Amino acid sequence: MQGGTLNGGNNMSKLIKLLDKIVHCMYNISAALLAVAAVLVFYQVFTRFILGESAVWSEVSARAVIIWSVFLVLGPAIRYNRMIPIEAIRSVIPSTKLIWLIRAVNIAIFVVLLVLIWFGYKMTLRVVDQQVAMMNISVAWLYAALPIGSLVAIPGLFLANYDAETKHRNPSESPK
Amino acid sequence: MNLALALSLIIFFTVSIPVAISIALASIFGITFFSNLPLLVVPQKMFTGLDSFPLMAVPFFILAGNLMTRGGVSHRLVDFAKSVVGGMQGGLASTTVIACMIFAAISGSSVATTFAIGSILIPAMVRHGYPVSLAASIQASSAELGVIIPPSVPLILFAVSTETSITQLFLAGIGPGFLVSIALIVMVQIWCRTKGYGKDDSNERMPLVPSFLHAFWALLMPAIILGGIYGGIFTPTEAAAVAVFYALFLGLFIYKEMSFSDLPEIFRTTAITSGAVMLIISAASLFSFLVSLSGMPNAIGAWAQTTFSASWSFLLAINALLFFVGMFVETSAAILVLAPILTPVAISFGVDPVHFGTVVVVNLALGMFTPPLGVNLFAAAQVADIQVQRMFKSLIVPVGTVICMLLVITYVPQVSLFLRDLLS
Repeated sequence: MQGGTLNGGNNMSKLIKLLDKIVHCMYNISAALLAVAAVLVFYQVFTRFILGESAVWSEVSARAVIIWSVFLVLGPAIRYNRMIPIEAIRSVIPSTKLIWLIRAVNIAIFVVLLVLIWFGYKMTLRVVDQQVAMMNISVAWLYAALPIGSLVAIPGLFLANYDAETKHRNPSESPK
Repeated sequence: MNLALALSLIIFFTVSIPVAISIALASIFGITFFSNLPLLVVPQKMFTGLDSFPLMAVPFFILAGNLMTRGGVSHRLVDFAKSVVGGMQGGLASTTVIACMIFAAISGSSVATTFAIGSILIPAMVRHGYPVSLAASIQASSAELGVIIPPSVPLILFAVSTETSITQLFLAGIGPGFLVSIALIVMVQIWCRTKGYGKDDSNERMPLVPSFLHAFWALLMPAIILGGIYGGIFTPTEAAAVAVFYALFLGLFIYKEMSFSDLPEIFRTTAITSGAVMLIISAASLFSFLVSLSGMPNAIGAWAQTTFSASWSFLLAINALLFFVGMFVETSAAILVLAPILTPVAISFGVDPVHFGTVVVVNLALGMFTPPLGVNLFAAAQVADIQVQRMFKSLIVPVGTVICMLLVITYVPQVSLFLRDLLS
């Protein structure tokens, strides 16, 4: 994965920085959306008590915001190994063979991401004409969270694999 | 397709593919090779699984728990619990149980409870002469109360995946929560008195009234959450959002132990923790769609009806199965995959689904501190800075105690249902 020449190495580190920025950006957007969803639901309670009737759009929009938050955090969750694996096998196989297991796991994640990107995209196109209840927008805006979240998760997967490869080649240096 | 789904899921879990990805991949595998369905159902079912208002209580309760932990609530609750039960021998061990019990009524997660309470009480117990492995084991086992006492993320997941009422399940969690708490207190008391631990635990203890006033605003939180839900003032999801704002208000303006600059990190941590759980929910709704399409619940139901003569033997077998699964599989995944399959079978044996929900959650909560794999074990070992293996021996008694209580909860449905029946 690392370039053979100095120039190649530089390009690689630029790419890593760029991908890291994408993952961080998604992490921040996801956290902000979670905050927005909490505000929307709190607003719903507030309107019911203070104004006497709840806003019809707050519940629907809070659901949409949470769906986007969940799929945008997919990349950071893969990148920082927060996807909750059952890791028993990793402690029993020799450390030199571990990289093959990690590669296989990452390929499995990649397959699922590809299915979500392609079929999520097709599903999004299919529902373009359907409207979200109580709101005058297309359901496609909600469905789009799946293909887009999965697409921007690929940098997270690439970096997780890159870290594992680096650690495998230089066991003494722990990656960033 | 049944066998293909089950086998591929077990293989993917075993080779350490993340839980959500394993479930999605097993479903993709089942759809591609064992059905005529198009792969379009993958995004469709994963989307509809998440598009649910009750489910949004999950990220909000996790967020409220994280804000409470950072905002200075945990040490106030510990001081209060210590002033209640800390005066006797083994008072610190009993304080751990009581503090976890109160914190459980704020937080929906047992790992959050382990970190919040354990980071204060494990070092305190060690200072008072408890062996570190024992202190960590008491903490890991008490923290399971986090998911039994409402609000509870696993109870919400059971409710959503089996279309049972969250409100009724929350009510049903209170009785078992108290029962397990009392059993754990009796256990630590006998343990401390026979082994001679915790003789000077009553030192550095605040009197009851000042400690109550000190923790008053934190203690008000369970009253707001549960009172609001059962008073019909708001839904569980709205209660969770109110809890978030109450926790923010306490941390920022009353206790002033949190600043605005702490918030981005708390929101990021919550987004990733709750996002990982929500992705499992999303994948599991696809999986349970395929499972119900393949007729697995009916097949298992028919098999169970011929194999088990009565509900008691069925419940015993279910408990054995869940205990085994809980030792290895993450709780959310176990609930989301198994509850939709097992609940209809339990109903056919005349078991109330709300009662069944508490049995499932108490059993899987037991798995959280049963070796070899348990999230509370790893969290407590991390706080205590010891290897997980060192805790194994001292976990035998807590695991045995909770198994006894699980049997009581299983065979005396009133423990779970009396509050619901009383209030309905």
